[in-house]
Order: sequence, then C-alpha cells, then structure tokens
Amino acid sequence: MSDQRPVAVTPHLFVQSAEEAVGFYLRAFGAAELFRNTFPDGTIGFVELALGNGRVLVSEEAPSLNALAPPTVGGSPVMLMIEVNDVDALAQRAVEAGAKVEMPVEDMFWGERYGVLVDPFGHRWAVSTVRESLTPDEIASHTPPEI
Amino acid sequence: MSSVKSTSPLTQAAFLVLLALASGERHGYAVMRFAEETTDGRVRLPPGTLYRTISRLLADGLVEEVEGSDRDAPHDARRRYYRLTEPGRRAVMDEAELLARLSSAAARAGLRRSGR
Repeated sequence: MSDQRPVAVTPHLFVQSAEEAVGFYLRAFGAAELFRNTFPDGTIGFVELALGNGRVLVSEEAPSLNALAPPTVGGSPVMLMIEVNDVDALAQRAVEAGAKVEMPVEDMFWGERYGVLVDPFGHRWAVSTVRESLTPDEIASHTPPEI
Repeated sequence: MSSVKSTSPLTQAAFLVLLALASGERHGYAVMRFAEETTDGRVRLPPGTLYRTISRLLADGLVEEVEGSDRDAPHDARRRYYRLTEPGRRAVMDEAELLARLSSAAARAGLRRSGR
C-alpha cells in the first residue's frame, strides 16, 4: 500500500515567458528556485520551485507538446491555493509584484481569511490562512444556503 | 527578503542536512554519508534530494556556501562545501528540542525498544 500512497501533488504551470514567471513567483510568493533544466538552445525546459513545503513546476508554453498557457486557452480552470499564516501580507506582496486581485482577502464562513489573485501570466491563486479552527459542524452551520 | 521563522517546520531531509553541518562545514558527499550512517541507512539523501534541499536552505538563509567551493561543478551539491548560518543553528536546535520532547513522550508511552 505504501508504495502506492502518493507523496505529493505538484502543479505544472505553462506560461508565456518562463523566465519572467519564475521571477514573479520568487518576488510575489517567496518561492525558491530549486532546479532548472535548460535545453542546448537556451530555452527553459522546466524550472522547479519550492513554495513552502510544496513544489511547482514552470515551463515555457509549447503548443507542439500541448503545453498551453492561460492566454492561449482563454483563461484557467484551476485555482492554486497557497496556505500561509499572514494572508494579508502575502496578498499585498503579490499585488506589489504585479498580481491582480480577483477577490479581496476577507474572513470566510469556513473560518479562514481567503482571497483570490490572478498572476500576470493568467494563473489563478487562492491565498488562505491555515487556522483550521472551526469544527465541520460549525462550518456546516455557517454555509450559505445558496451561492 | 522576509525573515525565516524558527518555527517553520523543517522537512526530514532539511533537518538532516542542518544536523550534518552542526559540527562544522562539510561538502554534500559528507552530508549524504552522515544521513546514511546516522539513520542506519533508513534515510538516504540521493543527489537530487540533496541538491533541492540545499537549494532551499540556501534560499531560506539557513546554510551558506563556503568560499572556495569547487565552481567547476555548478549543478552538483555533492562537491560543494556548506556551513550553518546563525538562523540555521537556531532552526536545527529548535527542531532537535522538539524531537527530544516527542521522543521522551514516546518512551513514556512505552514505545521504546529495550536495548536501544
């Protein structure tokens, strides 16, 4: 069983201009570049970033490999969530680095402070606290009847 | 750069690297050997893990590269020399104290094998 238990789930982001995107993720989220694979012609194969204890891979858009960036497909159906203690400070830092606010950070019914940002490359990031202080029953009683 | 909180959890690999460097500077190969010997071979740090872990510790300011490292091996952490920074020493000390506490709790709970 343990051989089949996944160790981690790691998003692989396709962007137009991997170099700029990596710079943004370092400035905006305090990511650290762990590893970079560059082709002989100088194009970036992938860059592996550490974000907290998670990892993110970033690659240049390559239509021949079906690696399409958000602007090419007209948006992104995925939200990447970063959990952090000071969510307001992180959101502020991301905005200063060039992110746009899709939903401002505020207290949510499930007990976290939470907001949504869009990075300059079209990927969507939720930023959330990690208080996890409410019980499932409390969250259920606070859940709005409809959206 | 934002400061490193001493309360940040260390991964097991990061803890082992810091622990290996606590007694003085070492190159990556020595860190790998230290991990294997200290854990009786239960934890290994293959080159890819070692490289990524050290990259992260460098970015967090918990270790630093020692001047005079072999610059001919740009992608091989095994041949480079590293040492703890002051925040790195505090981080590994905090983690060691926490582990000692947990280990005592485990012993009180009867979870220690005799003869070890």
